[in-house]
Amino acid sequence: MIKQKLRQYILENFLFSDNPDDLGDDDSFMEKEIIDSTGVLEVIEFLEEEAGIQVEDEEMIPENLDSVNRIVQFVEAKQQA
Amino acid sequence: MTGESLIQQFLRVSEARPEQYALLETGSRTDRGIRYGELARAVRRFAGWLKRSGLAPGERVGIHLPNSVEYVIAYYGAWSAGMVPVALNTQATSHELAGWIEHSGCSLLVGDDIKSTSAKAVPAIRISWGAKQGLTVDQRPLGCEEYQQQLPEDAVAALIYTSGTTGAPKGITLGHDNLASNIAGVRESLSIQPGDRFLCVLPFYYSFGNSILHSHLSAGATLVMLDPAGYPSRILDALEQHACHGFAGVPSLYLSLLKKTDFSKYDLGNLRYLTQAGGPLAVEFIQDLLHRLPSVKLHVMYGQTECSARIACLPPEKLQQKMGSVGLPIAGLELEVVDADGQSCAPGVAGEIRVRGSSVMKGYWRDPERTREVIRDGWLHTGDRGYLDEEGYLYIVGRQSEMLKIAENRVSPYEIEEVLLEIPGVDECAVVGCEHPLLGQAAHAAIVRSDPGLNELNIKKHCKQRLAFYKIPKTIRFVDALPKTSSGKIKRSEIPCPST
Repeated sequence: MIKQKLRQYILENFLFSDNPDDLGDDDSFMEKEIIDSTGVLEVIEFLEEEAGIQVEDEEMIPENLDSVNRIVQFVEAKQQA
Repeated sequence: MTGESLIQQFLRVSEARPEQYALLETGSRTDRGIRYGELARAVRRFAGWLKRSGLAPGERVGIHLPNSVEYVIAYYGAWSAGMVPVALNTQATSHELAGWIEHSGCSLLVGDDIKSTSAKAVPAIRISWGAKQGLTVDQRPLGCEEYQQQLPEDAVAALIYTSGTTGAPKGITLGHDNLASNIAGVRESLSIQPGDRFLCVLPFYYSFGNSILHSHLSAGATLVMLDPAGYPSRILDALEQHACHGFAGVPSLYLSLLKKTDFSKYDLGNLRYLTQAGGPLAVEFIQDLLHRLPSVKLHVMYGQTECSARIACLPPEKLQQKMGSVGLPIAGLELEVVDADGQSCAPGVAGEIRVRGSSVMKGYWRDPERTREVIRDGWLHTGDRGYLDEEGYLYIVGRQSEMLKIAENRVSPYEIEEVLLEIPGVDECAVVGCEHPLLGQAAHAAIVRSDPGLNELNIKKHCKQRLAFYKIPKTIRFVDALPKTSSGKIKRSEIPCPST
């Protein structure tokens, strides 16, 4: 569920596209210049609102937040914890 | 004025402290550092290479690099060869870059990824530094030939491109005397000590980052460069890991730290001073910052690229007493607040802020008309409105011009409007700055369209091809008509920001 919402959010707000093929689930947001530095904070706000999680300081790292799949794994792990 | 240029100060410091780290890179790249002695050698060798390549003093060298050891070698190397570095915004689109490169007349570009199509006409090189191989140009090691050109004190030192009132490039031209004078004032205000470690996350291609670079390298401090800056907790990690003494931020950066991190998890015992500029940070957030870091001195500053960066600074010991003020003019600058007739305003009465002194730019590059608009009778008219209190402390009340302030970037609404009007079906548009919780301000566009098929996505998609990401309107509203004066001028103040 969160995956679809997240993909939609990234496509609409950063890629300005309605074509799902424009965003690969493993595309690195930073390397592919999909999201700039302040965009990361916007994604965190989106996750906190939509997934009902709190992202802690030490969790704000590319390993958790730099692609759709990484975020989905991170959110699911948070929700199960 | 010190009489000694910043490159001379840097080389003198390098001789005195050759073993001390000048620069440390931390963050996503492998951590690495360069000491003053090695950095000075690399700078002089790059200057030797520039001279051997046939470039002459005064020629412009475009630098399109992130904050890095290579950026500093290219910048100071150009200075050492008597050339004029033009730092190019690495977030800019190829369209924007093309405009600046052409306008500045760069003879050479230094960068990893010069996207500009027009840049094809200008030779481009890649430089790389490593502790083992030293400095390479296009992967070829440099010889030992070093070079240092002597220049008149008032020679042009740098061009900095900022957003103009139209999309036309605006190159702020600063002399070696301007920069040396301003940096001396900044160092005096901040009491930067040799051996201090300062964390910089602001890009060097803007005047705030540029000022941080020069003020710390001329003082013999160590600059810790963090990339990427997008993860606020990494800033606190780096401050702790490198036991930094100082840090600088713009309001959006401090807001992200205050909202998204927990200071109490970090040992920031070495942190002695913070600087804040780039627009006002609300009093409640200043108080929050002071509450979380009670032993740290916060220097609130005000400046403008046209004045080499800094205009005024509020001494930390006056922060509570003069909350909301940006302080007193830094050494070497005179400041006045004047009414529409150019007469000084009484204390407490708002007017336009104007300054004069050795930090004021030479003018706008190849644009005498625009220069005359802002420098009149020897005074730089800032376009900002403010008032002085009885003791001469300056309070900013707003900008006279319509520039937006998005994160650390000054953005002209006209520049965005020009791009919007390129889209078939956009008849009229107006861009205003609206409050944004993370960026301070974000661009909002009101658009009159003749093509009902036009939607937000395809408008933003067009903008993405033409504008840096931060300039793309976050919100768009389609309207039947724009509010206008009787003479037909758009009344921006009557364009509402979206409520969500």
